[in-house]
Amino acid sequence: MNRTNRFEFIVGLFMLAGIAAAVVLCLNVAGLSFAGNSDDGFDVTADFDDIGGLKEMSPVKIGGVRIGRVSSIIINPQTLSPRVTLHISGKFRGKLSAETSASILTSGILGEQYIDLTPGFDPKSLSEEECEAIGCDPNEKYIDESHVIKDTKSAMILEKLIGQFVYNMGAKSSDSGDGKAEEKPASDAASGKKEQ
Amino acid sequence: MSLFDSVASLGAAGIRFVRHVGEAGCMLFRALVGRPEIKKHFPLLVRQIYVVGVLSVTIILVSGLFIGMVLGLQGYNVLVEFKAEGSLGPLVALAILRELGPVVAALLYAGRAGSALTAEIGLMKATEQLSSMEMMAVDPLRRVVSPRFWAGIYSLPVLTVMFCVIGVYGGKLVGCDWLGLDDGTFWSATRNSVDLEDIVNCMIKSAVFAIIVNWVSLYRGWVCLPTAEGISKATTGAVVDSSLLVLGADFVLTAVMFN
Amino acid sequence: MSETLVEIRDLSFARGSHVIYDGISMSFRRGSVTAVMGPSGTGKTTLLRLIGGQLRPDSGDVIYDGDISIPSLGRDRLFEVRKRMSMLFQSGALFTDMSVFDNVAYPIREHFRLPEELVRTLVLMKLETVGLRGAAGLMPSELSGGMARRVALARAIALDPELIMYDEPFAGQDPITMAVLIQLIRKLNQTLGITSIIVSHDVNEVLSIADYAYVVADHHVIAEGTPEEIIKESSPAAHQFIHGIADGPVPFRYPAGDYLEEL
Repeated sequence: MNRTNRFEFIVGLFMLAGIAAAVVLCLNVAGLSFAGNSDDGFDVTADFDDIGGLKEMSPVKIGGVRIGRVSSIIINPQTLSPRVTLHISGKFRGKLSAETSASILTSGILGEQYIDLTPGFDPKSLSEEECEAIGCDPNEKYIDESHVIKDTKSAMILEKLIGQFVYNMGAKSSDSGDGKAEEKPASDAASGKKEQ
Repeated sequence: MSLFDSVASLGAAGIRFVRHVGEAGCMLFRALVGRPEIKKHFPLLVRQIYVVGVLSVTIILVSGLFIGMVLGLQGYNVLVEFKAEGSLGPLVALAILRELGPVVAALLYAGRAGSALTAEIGLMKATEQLSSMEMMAVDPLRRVVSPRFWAGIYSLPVLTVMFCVIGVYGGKLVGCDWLGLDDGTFWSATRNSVDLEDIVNCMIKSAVFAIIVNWVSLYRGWVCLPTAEGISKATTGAVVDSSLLVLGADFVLTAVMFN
Repeated sequence: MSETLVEIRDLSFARGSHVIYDGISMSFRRGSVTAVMGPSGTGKTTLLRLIGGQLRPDSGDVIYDGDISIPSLGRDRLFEVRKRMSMLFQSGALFTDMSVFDNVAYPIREHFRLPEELVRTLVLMKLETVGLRGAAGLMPSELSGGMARRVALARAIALDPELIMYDEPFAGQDPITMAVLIQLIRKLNQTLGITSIIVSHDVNEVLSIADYAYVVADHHVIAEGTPEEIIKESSPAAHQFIHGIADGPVPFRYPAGDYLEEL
């Protein structure tokens, strides 16, 4: 191997090492999978009342396993509520029943928010009558392109939760106050009975 | 009178600065624009990538490892107080990918390779090698400056990626293998919070820094006084200027990218 | 084919406020060895750079080969003309990261696409001319000063130029190297007919090979002629320079105020 060739070889190794490092960075650190990026997926939409801290590219999961990402968030012009488009991996085309519900959850206490899908029961086992009974369209048993998920649960907003909690506390304490007031004469009566 | 003088010197410095920028722009333009002669330039490019890139790998890897380890240690000590040591992975990975990786790699590169470029060009000038090239009807901007510039543009992003990877693994080494964090938690938390966008931004930053460091270093060498003192001043100036410009550009880029 | 290869017409050049030339004229005949002598600091190297087009004069003209005006050439045309001339720098200016062989091959490889065997033959031929064929594999750092200058000379003649400009070829050389260089310059001139311009202040060595000589001092040509005429030159400044007299029209002292006053 002459000098020039040796340089070329080493520089080639250097560049390959750089590419390998970039791949490690993408796969191991950023956790991207090429399968998830392949574009055979399909889009479904879901309307929420409140999306909290959900962002584009937030994960969509079933039971904690990522199956897609949030591809866009807009305001539905008719209802003026947020409309979220979910891009779901093509592997799940025709696998999720139309009964699937979506809720916005938070990973951990301070973690990021994601959409959790809860699959409904398998519509194959339903007859058409049963299907109509629970209100699903017999022709649209499975989620596919441009399906709209109707059953949604919005994000938990800490302020709202606290507000609710305080309200409940208030309600409970006034309840219990009333209870005490009612109870007192009874106990008085009881003690009175004892005394008697 | 002294106020007048200081205002005047401020103006002179401004004019000098603008003239330097213009001159540097012309230099780069003349070096890069022109019909490419791939057959002649490729060996030169390979040679320069070897000099500025391959020879910088050691310092980049060692510094990256230590910076990752220090981040792991410090981060763990703080996070453990909040019972949030599970977030060590995102802390290390994001700190390195967003800021430390591109910036520290660029600063190390400026010290290791940028100064060498300045000194080399300055010495070639002092020993009349550049003049003799011109007299041989060979344009030294195309033959000497251009391959060095491109080599830097290719090398620094590669070095930055290496720095980032080894830094994250350094953080993992301390956090998981020495301090007993679960490495599954480490990786999953990291993967959840690091996006492709972070990596792309890291690369964009690194490419911008590569342009800055190489440009400044080559320009300082190109215009240095061909004496021992001139070369030493140019070398110091190249490292100082490119470091400051890198940090300034980092702020601007961060403001643009993460807002 | 004009008789004069390079002609300098009424040329003025200044670096900032420091005037170097003020309306000088010279002409260099084809196929001859012309010397330009003068005390150090009179801008002799600048003159070569003006001829080579690396510097542009403030006024006046440099005419190459009868009709090419060097200062008015564009970059591409200038490079074309430069392929016909070459310059031997004072320091040799060898590329320190290449071997002797590659240094000599450099201009050939840059300008011509020749098969490697032919390049090898050419390079060895040039190195043989300067007597350093055996040193082809060495690096410039392994050469002595005289050898480096000879390698630089081999590189300068690599493209068979019609003009070579020697910048202080004898400065700092031992007597043997000087003799070798003088012999080489004469040989190149006589056998290949290369026009030579030698800038130097080693009066005796230069006059021994020059056909014609100029003495430059104080922004002007102060004497010119054949070596015999120059030696007999009677103008005081030229006489002082040629015969090496410490004090004269060129003063020993740098201009200063009154000595007593300063004390």
